[in-house]
Amino acid sequence: MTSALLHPAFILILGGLLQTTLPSQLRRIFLLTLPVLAALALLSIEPGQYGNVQLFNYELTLLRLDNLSFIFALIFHIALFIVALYAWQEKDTLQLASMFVYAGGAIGAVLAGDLLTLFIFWEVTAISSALLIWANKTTGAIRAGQRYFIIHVASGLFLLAGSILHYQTTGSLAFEHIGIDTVSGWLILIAFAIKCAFPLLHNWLQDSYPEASVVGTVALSVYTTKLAIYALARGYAGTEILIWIGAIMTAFPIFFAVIENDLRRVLSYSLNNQLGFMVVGIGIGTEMALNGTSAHAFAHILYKALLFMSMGAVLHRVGTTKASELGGLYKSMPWTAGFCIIGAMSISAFPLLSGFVSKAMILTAVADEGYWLIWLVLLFASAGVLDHSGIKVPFFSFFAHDSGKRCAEAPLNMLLAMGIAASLCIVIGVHPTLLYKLLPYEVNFVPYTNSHVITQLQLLLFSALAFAMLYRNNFYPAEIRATNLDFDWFYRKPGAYLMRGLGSLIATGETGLLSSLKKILFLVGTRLHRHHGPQGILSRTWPTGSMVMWVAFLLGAYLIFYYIY
Amino acid sequence: MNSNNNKKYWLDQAKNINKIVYLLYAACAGLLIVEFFYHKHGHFDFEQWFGFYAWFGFIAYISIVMSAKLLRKFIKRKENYYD
Repeated sequence: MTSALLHPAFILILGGLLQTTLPSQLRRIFLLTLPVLAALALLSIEPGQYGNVQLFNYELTLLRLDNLSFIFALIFHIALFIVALYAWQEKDTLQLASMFVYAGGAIGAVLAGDLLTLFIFWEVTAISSALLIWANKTTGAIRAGQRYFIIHVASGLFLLAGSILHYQTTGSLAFEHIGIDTVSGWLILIAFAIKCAFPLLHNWLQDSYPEASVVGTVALSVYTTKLAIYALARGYAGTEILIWIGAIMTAFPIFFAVIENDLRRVLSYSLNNQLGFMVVGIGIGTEMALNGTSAHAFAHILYKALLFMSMGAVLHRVGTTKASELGGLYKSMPWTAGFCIIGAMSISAFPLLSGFVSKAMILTAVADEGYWLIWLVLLFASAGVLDHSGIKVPFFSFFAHDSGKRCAEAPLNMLLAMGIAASLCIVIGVHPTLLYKLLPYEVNFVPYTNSHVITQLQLLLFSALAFAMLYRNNFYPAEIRATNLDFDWFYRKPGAYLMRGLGSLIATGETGLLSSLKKILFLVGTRLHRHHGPQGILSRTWPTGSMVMWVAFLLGAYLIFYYIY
Repeated sequence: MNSNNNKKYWLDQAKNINKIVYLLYAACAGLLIVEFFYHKHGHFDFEQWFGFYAWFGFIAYISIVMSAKLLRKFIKRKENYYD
């Protein structure tokens, strides 16, 4: 296999581990070069299947490049370059190593041609991303990281079980369309659903992302969930249930985002809501819809990373991203504020920005298939996006009530990283054909029509009008320090009590069991001692004569038996 | 640092904020007037209703914010609830 060394995932994983041995100046340059090298490797590969290996009886395909895996792999590389630039000043080499192994794992998973290879890279991303959360070293990060890790390992187990069952029923491990007609199909769907933060399986996201480090959260926002989107698009395109799940996903996180105080958690809810649009696209499953999902994933990775980077810069300079503590920061961080606004307008899908040209494809695909209710939910969710990501995040951090906090502008490397992401948002918005060329199917969609631009502006500006009226009349919910309960309450409170109760029950059971076992052993011991001990009846010395008598008796008995039978 | 703190910014003045809000009002009014002058092509009949996107956005926004406020009554806990 000649391409093994050219596999972008291996370049990134090995490079990520190697950088820990380098002096700091060299390491920084090396880390910026790595994504470029890996991307060049990716671009040099012709579409097809590579690295066919025989493992026991299984035929593995380490690398499969086609239109769908290409666009995801490409944006993963671009994002890694941006994140590496953002992390230029990061000194924690373990964190940097986790980040590169994580990105490499996600790219390996996207390029995997079979379910076992997918599983291996799936687990690589789970472990490395948990390390990335733990790298923040706070108590909150360590606990959230533990919950995150358990949930993602569980996802991997579902994938493994489903894959084995899939192999037994179909005789193939190839990762193609799976569907939900079989038990294995459901098991694998659950694995993807966990990683994709489906409703009620979603809380690991909002729980852990805001706990990670400044750099870590940006990296996390890129890979795990979009890997799941890719996997769903590959295995479950056109599965109708996903349309409804996706629609719920776009709508419910909005309400939590509106009242959440930690702006990085607001962005996590918003991420969840954006995934919903992509899941709807996968459920629709037409070429237009899958194009929309791929385009939206591409655009979303950039503006979401941009938003997380701007909040990371705030966290880096001010030490908090709690809306109740912020405000007026545009005076200190005008560039960061500007980039944040570009990200916010992109996610809200303002014309001339990336979200406008990608989200519209999904909405059109939904309307083409006649799902009017779903379409209305998506439109409703779009108004919600404008609130929590479009307005709330930039408004309460950089404007609103001046907190009086003054700090330095974000470091140059962070500004450059944000600048690149912001430029890409604009370039895609102004020149959508650049993105459309990368999509898995031929694009037959014109985003810039009078009708589309005007209706979208109506939706957005009238939503903004609603905000202005609510805010100026003091109806807008105030930013207050609080914890809002979500589904994770069930496993963090009653679940934890239950487990603790079960634990003590097991502990009492264990002591009970052990003590009765001891009693039995003691009883057996004393009996043995009685018969076999120094005074025991069976350990006495017997005269030879009685021994001979017993032998004779046995032989006699044997003789009698022999004659009878 | 202190001199920076005392610096007056354009947005510090209430009248300038009002200017922005009035600009928003004007833009919204303009977007409704445009309704008469272009051909709206959509998939569903209700899209053709006058200013459908405008009032849908407005109502959706208000209902989201108000129901989130209501939701807060049920799910809000102290900040250190889980610690």
